[in-house]
Amino acid sequence: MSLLSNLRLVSNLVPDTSQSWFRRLTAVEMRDIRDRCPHLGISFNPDAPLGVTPAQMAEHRQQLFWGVRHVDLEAGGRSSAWLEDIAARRFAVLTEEAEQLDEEQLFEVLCVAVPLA
Amino acid sequence: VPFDVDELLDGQPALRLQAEAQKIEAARSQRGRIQVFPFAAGQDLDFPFTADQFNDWIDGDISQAITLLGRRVRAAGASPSTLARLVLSGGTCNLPQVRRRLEREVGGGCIVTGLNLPDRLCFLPGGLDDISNATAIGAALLASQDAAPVFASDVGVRLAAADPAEDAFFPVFRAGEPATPGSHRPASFFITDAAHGVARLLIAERLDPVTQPAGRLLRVVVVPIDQKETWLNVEFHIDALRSLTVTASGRNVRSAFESIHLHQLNLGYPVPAVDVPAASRGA
Repeated sequence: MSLLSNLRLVSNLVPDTSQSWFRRLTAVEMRDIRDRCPHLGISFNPDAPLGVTPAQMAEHRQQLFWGVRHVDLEAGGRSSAWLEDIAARRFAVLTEEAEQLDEEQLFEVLCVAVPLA
Repeated sequence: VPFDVDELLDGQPALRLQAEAQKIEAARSQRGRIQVFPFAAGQDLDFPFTADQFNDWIDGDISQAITLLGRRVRAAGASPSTLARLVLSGGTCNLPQVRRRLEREVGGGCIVTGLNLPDRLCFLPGGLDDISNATAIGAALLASQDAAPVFASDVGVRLAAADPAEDAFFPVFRAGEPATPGSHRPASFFITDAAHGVARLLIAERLDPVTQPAGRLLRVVVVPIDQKETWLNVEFHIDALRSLTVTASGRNVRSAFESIHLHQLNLGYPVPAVDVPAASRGA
């Protein structure tokens, strides 16, 4: 299993329990689910909202005024914060795990260690 | 960031050169030693090893290579016993262990380590008849027949699998597929953790799904995203020089991200089926 990647493939199908955790999602996540599962009954129509909480509606409404935004790698410590987080979580237990890691996983460790050095 | 895995190694020229030199030294004197001060993360590297250890490390790789070779030979309708010649080319073939095992398990007495070209092709001093050039000569001959390059391995993305035992490689281009300029592949990946505002896209290649389930890492691409982002859109494009261009962006908030280019794709040419005379096929 990759140590570095934070990307996955996910199914468009949602489990039966989805209604209970939909209310905890952000408006962005709800829109993604609506786009992938158009028959689920999720609507941000202000006149007839469906399956969304007032907080999700408010967040959605606020995002309509974002306009064109760009996220930069240098903003908010993005270029190093993820490296430090992986190092803190992984390197602390690396000596115990090292024997179980395969060659590619060890190489991923090196990819974190070198930029941090 | 983003950084290239080859650049990472190139950033350690001492390590690369020492590994090469000590590999040769171990074959000569039965032991080698790699020392780099400092190595990484403030640590030094001092690593003595014996030829037996080195042989143990590469033994699995040689077994995999022999398995792959056997599959290719069988796919061509032949068998190791019907091989007329097995031509060895490239520096790795100089390892005694590689030659011994190929001799014992595949080639028998038919291993060839020198080229016997017609005189009219041997016009470069010390050039074309050198066995090290066999691959380049073969590629040139195929190119002269307008053979189109194909991917020699799967190229794709290494993913964080939910199940550790699951294959965590998503192929974008498949081995054997033509590397046609202008080819364009879009893909979308779910971001499992956007807390740090980056999506970590791992470009990898995979020669064999059994032995390399997650592929071999080529490049780590770090894409800035909004911390509420859930999807990363990625475009893979083969340009006129057959380099792979990758662009990526968050789906809801655009990423300020310049395209990255991978210039050294593992390309090859489709080899025509070997015509083995019926009498040589055996049982």
